[in-house]
Order: sequence, then structure tokens, then C-alpha cells
Amino acid sequence: MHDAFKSQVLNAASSAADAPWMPTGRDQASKDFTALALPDRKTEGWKYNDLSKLYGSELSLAGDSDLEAASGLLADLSAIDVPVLALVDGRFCSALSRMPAGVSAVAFSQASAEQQASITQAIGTQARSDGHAFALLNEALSEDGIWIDVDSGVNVERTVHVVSLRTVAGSAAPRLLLRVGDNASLSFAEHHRSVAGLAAFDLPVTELQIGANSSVHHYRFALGEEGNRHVGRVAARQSADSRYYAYLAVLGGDFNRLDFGLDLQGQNCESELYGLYMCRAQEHTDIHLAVDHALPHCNSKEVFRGIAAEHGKAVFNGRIHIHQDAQKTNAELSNRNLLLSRTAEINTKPELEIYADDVKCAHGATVGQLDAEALFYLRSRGTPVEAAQSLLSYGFINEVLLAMPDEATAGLVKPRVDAFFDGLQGA
Amino acid sequence: MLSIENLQASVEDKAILKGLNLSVGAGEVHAIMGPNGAGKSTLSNVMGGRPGYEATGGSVTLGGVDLLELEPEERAYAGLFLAFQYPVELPGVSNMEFLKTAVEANCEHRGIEAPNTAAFLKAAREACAQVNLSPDFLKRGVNEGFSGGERKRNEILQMIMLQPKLCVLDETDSGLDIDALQVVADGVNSLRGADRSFVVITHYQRLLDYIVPDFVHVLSDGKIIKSGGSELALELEKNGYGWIEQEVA
Repeated sequence: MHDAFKSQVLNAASSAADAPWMPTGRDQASKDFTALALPDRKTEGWKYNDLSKLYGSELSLAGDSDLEAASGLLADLSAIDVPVLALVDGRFCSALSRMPAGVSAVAFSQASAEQQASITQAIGTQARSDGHAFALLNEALSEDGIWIDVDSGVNVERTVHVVSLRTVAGSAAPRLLLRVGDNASLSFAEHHRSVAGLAAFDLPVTELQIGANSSVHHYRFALGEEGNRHVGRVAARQSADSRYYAYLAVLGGDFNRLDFGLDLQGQNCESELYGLYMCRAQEHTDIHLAVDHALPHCNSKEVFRGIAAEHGKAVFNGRIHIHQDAQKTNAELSNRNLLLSRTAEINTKPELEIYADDVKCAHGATVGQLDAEALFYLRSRGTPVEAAQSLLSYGFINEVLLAMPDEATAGLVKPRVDAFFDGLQGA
Repeated sequence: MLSIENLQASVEDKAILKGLNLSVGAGEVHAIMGPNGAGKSTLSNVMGGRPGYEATGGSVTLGGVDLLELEPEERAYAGLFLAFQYPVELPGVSNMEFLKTAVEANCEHRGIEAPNTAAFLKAAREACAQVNLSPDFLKRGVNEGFSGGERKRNEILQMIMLQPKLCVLDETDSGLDIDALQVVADGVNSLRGADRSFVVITHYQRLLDYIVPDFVHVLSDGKIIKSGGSELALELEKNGYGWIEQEVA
């Protein structure tokens, strides 16, 4: 199965458009990828994944896009009139984009020679750091990406939205590269969306470098549809005195995997990561989080909430690595999960690796069902049992929604959260 | 209005209610007092249909409807409201959303038109003012971080919004200071009317200074052993429960 998958990758790579910004080149990336032993059930970080869903079906590059469908997928964003950079099936689409003001944002394919040089210099430096197979696969197949460069001292007031849309079957490997200078701030959102019932395979990679004393809010909403496979990678790095807030949502799609890595490479960093994931039907979601505290006096907090219903299956792995020099670290990880049916499954594993002796580190992971007392309380007021279950389940993940400071952006994921509860089967 | 006949109930196989009879007419306020372990909370839980509290015999009918056959939400539609002794926290569920869902479900099942959003908001704000809670409480999670007194006032707020026929207050006075007690009592008194009845379950006479009952019953060992007017409560306060238990024995 792995060999067949690899030969499909080589084929797809050979038909992809030129990507001169990639430092190693597409051929090298494909070769590196095919030389790798692919993760399988015996690979620790992948043991809960049904990899037949990943390697089993066809992989070929997405063909010509359906721009009308793409435009339809942007309706809610158009309604709130925000800056949008649109990638359709992995390629930039200027017709559907509304460029942001006050910040340098450009598609790789449209970048000037000078910008391309910066892209080439920055790209891959973080995402490949741990030999992540699917980051390599992205390099082999990526046709375009977005480069956002915030100069030192610049504050980007309005949230910039980068939207990756899928309108035709096949693979797409969009790339998002951000550099925020010193004493700057940025709020950006990345959206991953698809038309329904599409055999789309998404391999997005986001790399983010945050300068000293800067502040970044990062929304990442992967809103999949039946037929979608999504294997994403985020690699963020913070410099001294910076603040980073991430808000993740994963809903829908047959197979989701997100590897989220955060490197705290300066002192006095503050990081807060909030996430929600919800699976129903036969959906599978796996979130792997890795936070590295390299230096002293940093605070990190991770709050993740998951719900699995019907035959949904979720995996959460939260690793916090406190290196020897990272004294006075304060790290807190909370992962709570709710099972809404007997056939759903959730596996959670917090992992703390602590090599410094003067740190505060707390973690908690739970998997449970709705509180019977709370259900009775709601029902005693006349709330029907299904509505009571929805209210309590919504309340359960609401902590993550309430953490999002940009209400308009939070509003883009709420309808999908609401829709999750419609017509759920089985208790 | 409410008729309880020969009600028997067990909790974890232990008989708690042993043939309880109570009849409450429309517009009446009945107080049920009794020592710890008499079955006071079991009575309210059995009436509300809390899981784990099953009636093993007898009947409870409200307006001719047999409550014991109904799901908890259906009991609400029949007109029952149970003010909890320990109202639970519902983190992340806003009070507003919670009230709106409940009001709409009750209206639908009682065959009355649900208020539109503006009317609902107005009613909710008025009810807040009535129980001396800031309207900000509507936006907060249900009972989330509320003090004991705020939780009890929130119960009365719900009672006002849901307009029940029969309100059962389960030791609503426990843990309340005098000011909160006054607010709770004022809320209850404002709802008193010819077509609404109350069963006030309490350990202490104190609450009955503020909510003056028409009848007082003494519950002991799962049965009502003595009934009287509001003066009975004063007598109990003065002399305790022992003398009645002896008198009956």
C-alpha cells in the first residue's frame, strides 16, 4: 500500500506546476518523501489512525477548479467584508481575493523576485524540522502559497483571512508562510473548506515566525466535508517577550490529522492554544500538539475540547517538552472530551517531558459523558432531552469559542458547531 | 390542583416515603416541615422525576394528570416547577439560551404562543429586576460562579419566566442570609394567585415568616403525621419535632 501511494505521489509531483520558491525543488522533495518509511499502525504517533483511509484511495493532483463553487464557499466571508486571500485547489485566485491593506501579503506565484528570495529563505525551516513526512509531501506537491510579511513596528488591525477552498477531487498542498517582525501585531485566520462529497486530499502547511515583543492571533478552522482527507501541519516559533494565541477548530471530513508544533525560542513568551474538535458519522480526527519550552520564564496554556458522536473517533495527543534551560516555566494543559454515543471513541494522551527542576506544569485529560444531574436540571425546566443534550454539549466546547477575541471570526465556525448536533444518531 | 395519595418511594432499596397523602387546592400555599431524614427531599425528587427516585406505590396527580407516568420535561408541561435545593452549574450554557429554550418548549406543549425575542428579553430583564439580579446574569453560564444566594434567586427567576401551576420549593432557604431570603420570598409572593399553588419544603420556620403558608404539615418517617395552620410552624420552632413524634407514637 505504501509503494502504490508513493508512486502516485511521484506521478502527481511530475505533473505539478513549477514552484521555484521551494529551496530544495520539487524533485528532491519527492525523492526525500519516497525514501522515507511512511507512518503506519506501529508508528507511535499514528497508532490510532486508520491509515487505509489515508493511503488507500487515489492520489492525483487536483484538476481545473470550479470557481463558481469556490465563490459559493466564501459567502459568509463576503458578508462580513474582510480581507481575503483565496487559494482554490492549492492555487491562488485573485478574482476571489480582497487584498488586505497595511500589510505585505502576496501569493508565492505573484511574488516579486525579491519577495521570492525571502520566501525561499524562510520556507521549510520550521515545518521540516522534525522530518515530518507530510510536510515533505506538501513540498513535493505544493503549487502555490501565501506569504504574509509584517514589518517591525506594524500593527495589522483587521483579521486577515486566508482561505483554502476545495472544488475538485484530488490533492492540493497549499502553503502559508508568515513572518511577523519585532514589536508588531497580526490577527489572521486560515480556513480550510470544501464542497460536499468531494474526494479531496488536503496537505496544507503553515509556518509562522513571531518576532520579539510581538503579538499574534491565529485562527485555524478546518471545516471538512464527507469525502475529504486533511493532513495539516502548523509550525510556529516565538521570539522573546512575544504573545501567541491560537484557536483551532476541526469539524467534518472523513480523515483529519493535524500536527501542531510550537517552539518557544525566547524568554518571557506567552502562549495560549485553544482547540475544539468534533466527529460524528465515521469521521476521524487526530490532533497532535507539541509545545517546546526552550528558555526560561515562559507561560503556555493549552485548552482543548473534543466531542465524538455516532461512530466518530478522535485522538488527542498533547506533548509539552520543557528543556533543561527552561526554568520558571509555567505550563498548563487541559483536554476534556465528551462521548455522545457508545460507538464513538476518543483516545487522549497528555505527555509531559520535563528536564528543568524549577517549573510549574499541570495537565488534565478526561473522557466522559454528559452530567446526569445537569441533564435532569434542564429537563425539569421543560427542555426536551435532545435539546438538553445539545445545550450541554455546546456549553462544553463554548469555552473555546468564548476565548476567540474576534467575534466576527468566531461567528464563521459557530454555524458548523450548531449543525454538528442536528439529527445526531444514537445515545 | 395537586393530589398525592398513599405515595411510597424507595431510594437504593430503602423505603423512604411510606404512604404519604397530601391535597393542595388551587391558590394554596402548603409548607412541609420535618426533621432530617424524614423524606422531605425525596418527596420533591419523586415529584420531579429525578433519576434514582422511583415511586413504588401510590399516585401524584396535578390538574388530573398522573405525574409519575411522565418524563421530567412532561411534568414541566403539566405545570410543575421544582426549585432545587442545590441548583447545578451548566458551564458554557448561557442563562438566556437556557431560559429561552425552556420557555419555548413549555409554550409549545401548553399550546400557547411563545413570546418573540423582544418580548422574551423584556420579560427576562423584568424578572431579573424582580429577584434583584443584574441583567448581566442572563449572559453568564447558568449558575456558573454564582453564589448560593444568586443560585436560589436564579431559581425564582426561572419560576417567574415559566409560569407554573405548582411550585415545589425544596429547602430553598438553606444557605440563605436574611436579605436573600427576603428577595426569594418576595419573588414567590408575587407569583401567588388563585390559580397557582406552592409546596414549600423546609427544615426551619424562618422562611415561613416571609412566605406565610395556609397549611403546615409535619413529615416524619415518610408520612405526614400532623397538619395544621401556620401557627403549627411556630409551635415546631419553639418545641422541636420530638413532641409530635411522641404524640403520634
